[in-house]
Amino acid sequence: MHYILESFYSALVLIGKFDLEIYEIIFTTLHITFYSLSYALFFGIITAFFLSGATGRTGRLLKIIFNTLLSLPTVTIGLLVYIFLMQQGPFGYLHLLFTKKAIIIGQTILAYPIITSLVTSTLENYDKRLKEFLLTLGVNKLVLMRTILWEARYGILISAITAYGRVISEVGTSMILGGNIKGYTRTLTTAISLETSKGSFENALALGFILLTISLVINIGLHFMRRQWSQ
Amino acid sequence: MESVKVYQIRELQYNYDHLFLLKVKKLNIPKGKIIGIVGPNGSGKTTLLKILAFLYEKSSGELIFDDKIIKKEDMKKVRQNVTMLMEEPYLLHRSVRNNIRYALNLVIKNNKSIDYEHYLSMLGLNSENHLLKNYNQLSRGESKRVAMLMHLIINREVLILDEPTNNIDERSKIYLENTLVKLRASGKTIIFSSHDIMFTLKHADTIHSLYNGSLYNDMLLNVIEFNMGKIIANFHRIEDKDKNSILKKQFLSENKIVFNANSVKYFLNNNCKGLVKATIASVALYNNRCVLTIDIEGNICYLYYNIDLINKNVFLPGSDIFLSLKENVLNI
Repeated sequence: MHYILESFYSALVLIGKFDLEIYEIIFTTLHITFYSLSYALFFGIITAFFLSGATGRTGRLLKIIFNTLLSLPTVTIGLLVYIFLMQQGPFGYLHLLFTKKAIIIGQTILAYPIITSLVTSTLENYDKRLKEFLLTLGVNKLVLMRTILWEARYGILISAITAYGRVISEVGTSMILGGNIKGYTRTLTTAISLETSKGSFENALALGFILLTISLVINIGLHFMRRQWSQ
Repeated sequence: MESVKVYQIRELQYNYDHLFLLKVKKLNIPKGKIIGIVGPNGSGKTTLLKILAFLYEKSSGELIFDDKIIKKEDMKKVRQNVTMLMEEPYLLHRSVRNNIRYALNLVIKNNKSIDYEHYLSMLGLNSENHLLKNYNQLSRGESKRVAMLMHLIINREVLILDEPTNNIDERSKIYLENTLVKLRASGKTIIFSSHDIMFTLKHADTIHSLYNGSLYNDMLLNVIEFNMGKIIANFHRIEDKDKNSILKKQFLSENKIVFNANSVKYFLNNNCKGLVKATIASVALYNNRCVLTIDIEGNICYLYYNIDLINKNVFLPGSDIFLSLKENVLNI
């Protein structure tokens, strides 16, 4: 117990020292997660919009596939993307392996089914009167889509929070695709993993504490956003 | 001269999952008229209105709009001529001002100077009390009026209203009635469904009844059902105190009596056999019609006559009237 408390203290000192390396890791993590969540939101919402209107057999099958993909292990995604991006792979010529872009691709693939599945469910369960109301107002397809998405924004926000939680906390994809390169692709989770294996528990704890704080700040921000919308 | 028809329906049927829901043999809706559709719950009123609003696609039959046969691929385009206010309308989850702005932006792009007071006053609302209110701060009646306003702003040739008088108070009803009068004057075609028989008789040029999914043209049906010693009339369940009542005796083989309210033959004295005694509850003059609310053994029914046909008779509330119902009974 004493050792854990000591580690906590060391973690706070580490944060207070404004260590450049730590801020670099934080920045890399935020940079990667921001882009991966943005891409996943973009593709996920579009897919969800079409899936929510699909009532046929293909639509049902796709929904089952997306629900299954929710439990996709991060190392599996990392491995699959690795195969595609390695020198001998089909996209090897792009030289993306061990770059931030590779991690973004992997994390986008991780978040995409989460966003798709949750937003589809939100749209399917949303008030059925909305679509009829908009159709009787004679709106075109684009305005219809935009309005429905805006009306269902709380559900979409919850999907985004859930996906972000998964993306910021994953280690498998970042490790395999980014390679945990110091000052370049080292993220909070890969750094925690490294520090733990080195036995520097206070450093690992400090990074874990920062990770939690970032999650907390983002969630508080989104909570206020939701409150603002509901007023 | 024959009036221009907005809708023409022939042998239309609507099924959902192989379940029969609606059948309309023939229906013509003339341009610039107000059409009222009445019927009990579950008779298919909303389904018919949604077909007319091109929200539901018919299963079979012919639907003609503005002299053009409408197929599935035409629905999106032709929907631009029609707008429909639902029974429980949806309001966008934003303020009244932003709801109005949304509707205005659909008709006028980049509308910067909006005279909200002008629009709100159309339905008895005002900027001071309503403009900045959020959608969830409005009463049901106010929500309905804001939704109605949005449908009026987009200004379509045909306005369809599903149960417009439900959940609104008398004051809101007056604003709705005034709006209908103005819309009629501007030549719009209005189709509405309602349980409010008086409202329908007051405003509709033509009344059609829906019963068990079938449409009866130019009829207002009164339904009296005999059910386990009870009578259900006009959709209200009332105890039948006297099982040997005249009504029951006369229609002994029937489970229900359905009769058209229009021009039921009446006598002020019981001078013929087989007449059903009723008491006049109220008399009203609407839209060139004399409307009698009558009480048949505790069942409220409605009768209406063209005003020219009854001007020699005096109907007094509380007095008896004797009806020859059999001629108006429908075998359905």
